[in-house]
Parts: sequence; structure tokens; C-alpha cells
Amino acid sequence: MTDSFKTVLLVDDDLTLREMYAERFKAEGFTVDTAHDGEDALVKAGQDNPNIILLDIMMPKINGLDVLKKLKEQPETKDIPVIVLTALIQDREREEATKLGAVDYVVKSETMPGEVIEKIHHALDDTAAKPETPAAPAN
Amino acid sequence: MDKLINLLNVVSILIILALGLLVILRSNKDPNSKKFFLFVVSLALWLSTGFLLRFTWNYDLSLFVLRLNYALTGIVVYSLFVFSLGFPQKLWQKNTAYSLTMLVPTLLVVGISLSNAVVAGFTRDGSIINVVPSWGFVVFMVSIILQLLLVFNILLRQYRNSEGILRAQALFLFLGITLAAVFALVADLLIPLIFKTFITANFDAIWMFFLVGFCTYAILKHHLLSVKVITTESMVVIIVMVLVVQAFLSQGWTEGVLRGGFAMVVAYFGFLLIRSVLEEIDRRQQIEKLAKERQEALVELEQRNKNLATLQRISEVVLNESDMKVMAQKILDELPKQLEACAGGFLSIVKDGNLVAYAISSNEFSEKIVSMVGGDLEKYSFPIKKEYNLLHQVVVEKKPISSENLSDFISPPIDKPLAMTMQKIIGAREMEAFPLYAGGEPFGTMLFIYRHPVRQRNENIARAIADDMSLAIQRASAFQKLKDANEYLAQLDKMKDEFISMASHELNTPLAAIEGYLSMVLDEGMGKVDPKAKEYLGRAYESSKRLAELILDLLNVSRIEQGRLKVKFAETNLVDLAQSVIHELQIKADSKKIYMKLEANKKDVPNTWCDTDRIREVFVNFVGNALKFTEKGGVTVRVEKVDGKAVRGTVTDTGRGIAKVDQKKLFQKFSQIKRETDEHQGTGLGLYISKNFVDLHKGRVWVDSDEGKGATFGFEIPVLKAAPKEVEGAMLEDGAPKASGSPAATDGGHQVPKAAG
Repeated sequence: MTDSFKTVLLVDDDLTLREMYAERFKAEGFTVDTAHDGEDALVKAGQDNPNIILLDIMMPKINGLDVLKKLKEQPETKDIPVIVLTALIQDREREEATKLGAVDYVVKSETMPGEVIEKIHHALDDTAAKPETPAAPAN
Repeated sequence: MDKLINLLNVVSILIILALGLLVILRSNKDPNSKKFFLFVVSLALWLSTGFLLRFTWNYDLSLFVLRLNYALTGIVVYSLFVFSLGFPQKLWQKNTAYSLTMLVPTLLVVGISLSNAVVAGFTRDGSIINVVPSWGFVVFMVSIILQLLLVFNILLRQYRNSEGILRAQALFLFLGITLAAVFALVADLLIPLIFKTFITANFDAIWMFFLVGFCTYAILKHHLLSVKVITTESMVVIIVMVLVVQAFLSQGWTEGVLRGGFAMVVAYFGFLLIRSVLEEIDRRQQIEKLAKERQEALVELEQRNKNLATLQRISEVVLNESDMKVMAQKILDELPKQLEACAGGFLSIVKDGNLVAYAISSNEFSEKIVSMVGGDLEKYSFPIKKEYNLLHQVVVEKKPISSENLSDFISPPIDKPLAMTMQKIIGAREMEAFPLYAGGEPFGTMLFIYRHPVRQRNENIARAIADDMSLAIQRASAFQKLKDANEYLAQLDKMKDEFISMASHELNTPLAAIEGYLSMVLDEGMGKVDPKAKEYLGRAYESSKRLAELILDLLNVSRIEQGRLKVKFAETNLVDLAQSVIHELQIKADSKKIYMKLEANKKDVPNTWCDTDRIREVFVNFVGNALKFTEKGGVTVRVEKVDGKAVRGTVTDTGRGIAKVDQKKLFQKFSQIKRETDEHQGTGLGLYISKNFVDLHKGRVWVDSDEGKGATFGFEIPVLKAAPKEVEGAMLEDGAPKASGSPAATDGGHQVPKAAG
């Protein structure tokens, strides 16, 4: 796998889910970095330079959508692909996240960890295919 | 000399009588005219007796005439008194009683005058009589002078208490009497006393002519007759009378007849002259009347225009302002600009049985007033009691009340001296409070404050403003209530939405962990699993999947019922949708060993604009149900066009079918039909949601089945060439199709963006 040894920043306030996804991602060969809230996520995204970020929405302090917005505003993080991984199944958040530049929107209860890994690969492939083009926000 | 005096006396008496006749003929219905006529007659009699005394008769007869003259003096003064009581207006209710009371001293005077108590006798010096007074002479004089003073007093009051034309009438009467009295005093009393001559006493009739002349003018002015007519009429009457007297005094009948004829001719021409003058006057009066009416109409029109403009201005405020406080303030601020002499208004509102001060017009002194009462108006809130103050009384009695004292309206609670200071600052002279009504019941009062006493002139417009204010405040308060209710509902709605959002999030999080771990075990990426354990874990996984579906269904139902479902229209072909659904569910069919096929020709089915996610959901529901209830045979999906206007999707299975009785309930919420062999029940929401999704497209769903004969579920939606402008019962989103991510083009329902290139 070309994506092996790449770093995934997993942002989720739920410890169980964080551990579950971390275990699965590590089994896939990724290096996993975790953050437990929005603030933590912004710090780690800047410091650890992850290849991809999996971002929850409903989190304490700063919610995922605001984190996403800030990530896309900062030059050093704006090119990191972000997959929103949330328990929210309202259309509003999906639309908002897409607008802010998330490459995908994944509902946790609908998508199994195995499928999440597929989506990570897709996203990384997309980014690799056009390295000069930052992830353009959808209109 | 004597002859001249005689002539003057006769002419004066005639003129006086003529004027009396003129008045009584002109307005014989007026009791004042009758009283005046009596006065004139008594006056003429008095003058006549005085005149007769100029001629030498035997002593006794002359003495009688002299005493009669004195007695008549009393009657003249009395009749003047009676007349002045009622002219120009009736000042006292007890006029008759006063008249009767005054009759007593009058009769007394008449009585003693006729006896020898006043005039003991006389000496004659030619035509001049020197009276020899008796003991009653002083009584007589005092009585007459007192009565005359009384008459003066009455006339003075008449003058003071009258306005306009009545005041002018009183003035003329007063002038007439004063002139006559002064001349009479000088001629009859002062000159005889000083110069010891009674020569001037012979001109009484002339002085009285002033009195009667002014009185006549005063009376007839009341009836809008001009001096011109009076003069003409008087002149004609006098000339004719003189001619008639001459005729009687003429020597021999030939001269008498000639003079009499001449008098008649003069009388006839005089009559013509009077008539023509009257006609001219009539015409002029008519013109004047018309002009006056026109002027009045213009004034009235102007006033109405002004009122309309005022009301319009206030209506504008009412229409443009829905906040009650702001609107009330704006209306109050308009008052000084719109109402004549209005210094402002003060509004109080009934609130929970209390009358609460609400707002006052803002102007140069309003700030000071507000600071005087302590800033916050609304702290003045007191239980409504009639005796409390006039504002309270207005609310209780439901009628407007006016007063010249501000303190009557606001004290208590404001101290009386403070209220008086306020009134001084405002310069208020008159105030009137109107009740404001809502449904026939007062809910407040509006106090209008005026700088001049013009309340009555403003009454109609003030009332109209108060009515306008009533309506406006009712409207504003209804609007406010509605707004509050709406805000509350919107808040509830938002809370509900947020709650559902939260609930689905909170339910989904642990569910994701359950599903995730189960899928990881079942994938066997972490290690081999015992087959039995794998079967159990598989069932646990299936159950958690169903739970996830249930949560999604509940969320959908909640959105449908709130009308908050978001729909996004895109152009699609239903054959593609059906194909993708079959592809996704093929595994299930395979595991049950039943067939699943699609019967459709994409070329025959036109593309249509629809919410592809929702229509796909409908297919998933129908096919999922068909698979669930079919053990043998299989499932056939058909897509076709109907009359070129609609597209139809049907799912037919070879299952056991549904009884007709049960079919009606199928598309209702939580409807489940009991089937003994069911492995698991659905949520009972799938068909309900499907029906609602199809309804959003203005389409229809149906079922065709019979027990033991399989079932066909179908839906039809109209073919659209573009996204609709709005969708009833849902929130329409921008329907622009996306280059990727369209469910029709995805694999297995997972939204995996296509790889670029």
C-alpha cells in the first residue's frame, strides 16, 4: 500500500470510537495521531503535519465545522484533506461541510471502519493525483 | 315758540308710537316685542299727559292730569324694568316672580301719585306748571330713582353676560336709557333747579325718542334688519301721521279732504318705497345668507380636510409601526402638530385591573414633566376606582370628561401643587379625556391638553383620534401577541430540531462503536473467528444495522412532519436508479435464493428532475420489503413511462400477498401487518416515508395485492423538465446537479467520489 506510513489525525471526543478507529487504522499501516476536541485538533494539525484528518463535528470547545473552517484558512493546513466522520445524519451539516472544503462526509453508523479506510485511500489518491491543486472548496 | 314745542312733542310721541308699532308688527311672536310695546305705550301716554298739561284747563282737571302723569312715571319705569329683565336674553329663571314683586312698589307709587300725597297742587305760569310737592314727593322720587338704578344694574349684567349680537343689543339698550336719563335729568331737574325755569322740561318726548329709537334698533337688529328699512319705515310713518294730523286740524272739510287725500297718496308711495326697500333688503339678505353659507361650508370643508389629513397622518403611523409603545408615542407626538391649540396628550392603559401611565407627547416641556414625576411613567399604576381621579372616572363611566384643572386628572397620585405647577409649565387651559375601547370595554384613556379653550371645536377630531388610537393599540397588541407566539413556536421548533439532531447524534455514537467493532471482528482482519460465534456476531451486526435504520427513519419522519425535509432536485433516469438499487440488494436475493430482475428500457423512459436520494429510498423500501416477504420465486422491478407525462416504478413479488383490509393501513405511520413467519418486523415507517417522499414530487403510491397472490407496490411521479420553484411541505435546495457524488452514479450506495481523471 502506497498510503502506508502516512499519518492520520483522528479527531473525536468519544474515547471508544477514537480507540476503535485508531486500532483499525494502525492495522492498515497508518500512523495514527489523535485529538479529543477542536482546540486539540487545531494544535495537532499544525504541529504534526498529518497527511489526512478525520474530523468529528459534535465536539466540546470548538465544533468540527469551525475547526474545518480554520484549517482551510491557515496556509500550513489548508492542503490537508479532511474527511468529516460524524454521527450527525442531518443534511445541513453534510452541505456545510462540503461547502467548507471537506473531501467527504461519512456517517459513523452507516459506514464501517473498513469502508472508512477505503475512503481514506480514495482521498489520499485524489490529493496525490493533483499535488499542485489544493482541495478546492465546493461552491 | 310754543307752537314749535307743541309740534316737536307731537312728532316725538308719534315717532315713539310708530317705532313701537314697527317692533310689534315686525316680530309679534316675541314676548320681548310685546313688553317693549307696553313700554312704548306707557311712555307715549306719559308724554301725552305731560304734553296736555301745556294747555290751560280748569284747575281740577289739570291737577288730575298732573297726578296721572306722575302715576304713569311709575308704570313707565316698571315696564322698562320688565322689558330689561328679558332683553336681549333671559338672565334669570325667576323673571316672572321678580316682575310680580316689583309690581308692589309700583302700585304703591301709582296709588300715592293719584292721591294728594305726592302732588299737593300746582301754580301755572303760562304753559309751565310749577308743582307743589306734598310729603310723599320724596318717597315717589326715591322709589323711581331706585327702580331706575335697578334697571341700570340689570342692563349692565345683560351687557356683561352677553356675547356677539346679544352684547350689541344690550349696549344699544343701555345707551338709549342712559342718554334719555341724562337728558331728562338735566332738562327736568338740573336746569329747573339751577336756572329756576321749567322751559326745558317740555322736551321730555325728545329725550325719550332717543331711548325708544335705540331700543327699537336693538330689537330689530336681532332680526337682522338694516337701519335703512327702519329709517325708511319710520320716516314714512311720521310723514303720513303728520299729514293725517294736519288733515284733522285743517279748517273746513274741503281742505281736510284734500290734505287727507294727499296723506293717502303719500302713504301709498311710502308703502311702495318701503316695499322696494324691503325687496332690496331681502335680496341682499339672501345673497348675504348664501355668502355666509358658502363661507361656512368652506370653513367646514377646510376643517374636514384638516381632520382627514390628521387622521391620515395618524393612520400612516399606525400602519407603519407594529410595536405598540413606539406607535403610541408617534401618535402622541403628532397631536400638537395636528390639533389646534393642543399642547399634547397623555395615554394611560388598563393592565391587570390597574390604570397605568403609558406615554406622553414629547415636546419642549415633556422632559421636564417626566422628570417632575420621577422618570418612569409606568410606575404610576393604581387599581381602577371611579373616585380616584378623572382618568379613572373616564374608564369607569366610559365617557369623555373635561376639566380646566390638570390636577383633576392626575391628583392623586401626583401632588396637587405639583400638578398645578405642571399645568402652568404647559400653559394648559383646558383638558379632556376620552376612553379608548376594545370590544366595547375601555382599556385606557387618552387625555388631550389644550392651551386655549377650544375643546369643543376639537371634540370630533379628538374623538376620532382616540378611536384610531383604540384600533391601533388593539391591532398592535394583537400583533405583538402573535409575534411573541410565533417567536415562541419558532424557538420550540428549533429546540425540537436541535433535540432530534442531538438525539440522533447521541444514539449513533455508541451504535457506531458497536457496528464498527462487530464489523472488524467479522472481517477477520484481526484473527479467525469461531463459526458459531461468527453467526451470532453476524446477527448482532444485523440488529445494530436495523437500529441505525430506525434512527434514520425516525429522523426522516420528524423532518417530514415539520416540513423541514430538504429536497434537492437533479435530472436523472429512474432506470439507472432502479439498477443501482437492484445491484445493492442483490446479495439479499442471492442469500434467499430468489431471483431479482429489472424490466425496463432506458430509451423509453424519459429523464426527469427529482430528488434522486429520496426516489432511490422509495425503490430501496419497496424492493427491501419485497425481498423480505418472498420465500419462493422472486422480485421483478419495472420502470416505464405513463402517457409521456409521468414515470412509474413498480416492484412485484411472488410472496404471500396482503389482505385487502390491511392494504389501507400500509402507508400509515407505524403500520405493520402481522405475519406469523416474519423473521423480523420493519420499523413500520418505510412505506410511510416512501409515500411522503413521492408526495413531495406530487406523485402517488399504491399497492396491488391479494392474499396468496404476491404483491405489487408502485409509484408514479410526473416528468419534470427542470427543478420546481418550490416544494410544498419541504425545503428546496439548490437543484444544480453535481459532477460527481450523484447517488445514481455511485457504487452500492456509498458516496465515494470518483477518482479524478
